[in-house]
Amino acid sequence: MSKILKSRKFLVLLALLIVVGAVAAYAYNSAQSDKEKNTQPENSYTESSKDQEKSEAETNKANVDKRADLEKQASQTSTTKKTVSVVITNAQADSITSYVSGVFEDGGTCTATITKGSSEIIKTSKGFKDATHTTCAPIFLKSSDFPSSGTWAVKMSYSSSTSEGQSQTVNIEVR
Amino acid sequence: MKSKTIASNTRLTLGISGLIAIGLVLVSLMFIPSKAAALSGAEFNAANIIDDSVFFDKSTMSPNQIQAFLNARVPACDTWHAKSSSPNDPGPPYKCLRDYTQAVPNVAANSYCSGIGGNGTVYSAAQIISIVSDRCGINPQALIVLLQKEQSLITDTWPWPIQYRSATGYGCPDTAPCDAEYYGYFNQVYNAAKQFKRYVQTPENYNYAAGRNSYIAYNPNGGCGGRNVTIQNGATAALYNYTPYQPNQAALNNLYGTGDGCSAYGNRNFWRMFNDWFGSTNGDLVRTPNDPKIYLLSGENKYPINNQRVLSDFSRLGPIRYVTDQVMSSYTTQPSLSNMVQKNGGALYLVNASIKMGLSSCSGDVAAYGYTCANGQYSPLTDSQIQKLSNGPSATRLVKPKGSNSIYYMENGKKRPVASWMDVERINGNSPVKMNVLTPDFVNKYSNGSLAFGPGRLVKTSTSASVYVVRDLNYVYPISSLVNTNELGLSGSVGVMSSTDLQTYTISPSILRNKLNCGSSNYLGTLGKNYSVSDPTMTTYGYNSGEFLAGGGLCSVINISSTPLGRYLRAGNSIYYINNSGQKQAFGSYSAYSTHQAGNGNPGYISVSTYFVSTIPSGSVIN
Repeated sequence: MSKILKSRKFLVLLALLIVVGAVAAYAYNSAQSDKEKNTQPENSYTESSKDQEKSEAETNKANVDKRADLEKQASQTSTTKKTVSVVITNAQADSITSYVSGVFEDGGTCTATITKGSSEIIKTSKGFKDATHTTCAPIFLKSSDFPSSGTWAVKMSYSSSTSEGQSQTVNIEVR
Repeated sequence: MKSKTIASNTRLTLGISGLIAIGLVLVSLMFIPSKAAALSGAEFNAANIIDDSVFFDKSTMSPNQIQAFLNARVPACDTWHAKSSSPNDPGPPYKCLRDYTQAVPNVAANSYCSGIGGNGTVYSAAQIISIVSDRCGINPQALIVLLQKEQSLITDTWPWPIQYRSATGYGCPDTAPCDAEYYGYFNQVYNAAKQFKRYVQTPENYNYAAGRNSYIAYNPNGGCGGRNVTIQNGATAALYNYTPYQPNQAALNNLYGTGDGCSAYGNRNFWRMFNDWFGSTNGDLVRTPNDPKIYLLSGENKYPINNQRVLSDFSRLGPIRYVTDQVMSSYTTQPSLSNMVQKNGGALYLVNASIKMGLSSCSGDVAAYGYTCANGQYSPLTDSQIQKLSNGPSATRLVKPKGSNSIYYMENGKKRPVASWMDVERINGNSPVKMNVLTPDFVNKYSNGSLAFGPGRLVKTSTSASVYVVRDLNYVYPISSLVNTNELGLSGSVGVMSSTDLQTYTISPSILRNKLNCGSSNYLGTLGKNYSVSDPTMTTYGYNSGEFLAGGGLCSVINISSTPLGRYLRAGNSIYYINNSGQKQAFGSYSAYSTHQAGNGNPGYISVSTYFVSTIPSGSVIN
């Protein structure tokens, strides 16, 4: 009998807990919805999640701190050059475009090293400031630059008074 | 007893089960998303993040609309938020973008942006967005999204000064300090906009350009790899030149959150935020590769576009892009796209040449353009689509096809040619004339109605000598002679219409005399002027109200005197007094008149025609 009662009590307790929990959760959810509704702008723009935006704003603040730390480090004199990465965005037999991430400056040198076997072609261009990085002025190639047709390997490197780095190798077909 | 226990146990069990069931239902309610996600990462097209027509449309928002948008994103700025532990946080008071101001310098014109004569004047952040957008030809919405994706400035309720300093991330490389040369809110917005224009004007100098197949990395970490993309337009190329990363699959799978260690979010967030705040970054006019039928997508619906004219009326919502059959079939087909559209369950507009003109009344201008306010007559569009259509004046009944000398009056879904400019003025009523200029294609879709004349015009048909006076656009009075119309002041050339046109007018059974009723006043016309006739004067002259015909539109064209009709009349050299029997009594001399009228409070006489006095019976002479 007492077992039955215990099990009965347990069931009642469980049911009540679920109901109370659910009601509380539902009320909270409704309250959140109401809060969201209350903060809906009166204009007609489509809404996205306010919470999402808030969280993004906080993440942004963390990023602001990270960047400020970088600025602090950069202001301390360093004798070693910063290692940056060079990205080739398009390599053809007639031109190579690329940029350098991690640095924003004018005057650095972008160097294309194009090899096939023991043959090597070297071409350079200048890097220039571009919004959030350094873009290498396009490097133009003529068919007469290539002593032979076939697959040539292209690697870009970058060097300036502050930074240096290189790209991964990209192949081009020369006919 | 046993049975009772069982019964009681059963009730208890049922009660517990019920409570559990209710609980589970309520729990399950928690997991039903209150709002379906608006956008899916699968819709992101790395080759076309945003159309040129959207990105370079500087006309999407006025400065006030930008300000209203900023206010709406931050209804209350958290000015006195507690200072955080960050060394970059100077502590309160914080200033939100909605309230931010800055002095704008003079900036000379260049190849990318026209000059800015700021002259040190202090402008709001919203005004600065508007000025830069206007001078550089960039959609202010794109600049707003840029400010958000770079520094969260649109929604941040307690932004730090450092966020304004590098507001658009211009001059801020990954893993390196920002360049101080470009610090400051105005500088940041201006240089970003200018750079976007530079990318599309000199694509040969940059990594990404429309039509070029280029490698776009997933992350500044080269080891994360990337993918080649043939970029479809200049705006998308500009975004990649500015931020040279595309979202990887992990970033797209969790569109509103984070992906993995190789994700980058700049261009994904630009696309997502633009869609969420301002609608599609791409044209809403679509077709499939296999079917040339073009549709306008709006929300979950697609509206077939029946002809080139409608397509050109909604071109601002383009350009036309291709979608797969699968995407096309996911939209619900609605009736054909109508030139009458509805904003958000409310206002109706007439759309021509991507300009929206407000329609105010179902029985008035809506009916005039051949529509009703019933479902299916109009196409409901999204707010952002409505916003993309330029604001025009309210729809007018008088319209002129662009490049034509003809003017039409819209009525019951027909266009009635208006006979002359005088008729235009009279139909319009009080000046100035309100008349929208529409595309000829649009006007010509309407068939011609009968020739329209303004109120007061004398008209006849080419086959009959009978002359009528137009009272309203569809109502004429017959006249027996021109004497009465001259008395009312209705003169001018007689307009000629076909007898078929005349049949569309109601011809009054009453012949027009020189007496009109306008509202609560009766008027008697003589010598082209119209004098109000008070009730006692009606009695004096022996008139009854039935003699005064409804003036309608004539009331707005007749010349109404400020003097009412009295008892003293002058016709030629004779002056008369109208006695209580309705007779006219001539004065034997001017002094007799002077003495008589002085005894009646010096009301003076009004000049009338000899025709008018001839209609009044004569009495004895007053000497």
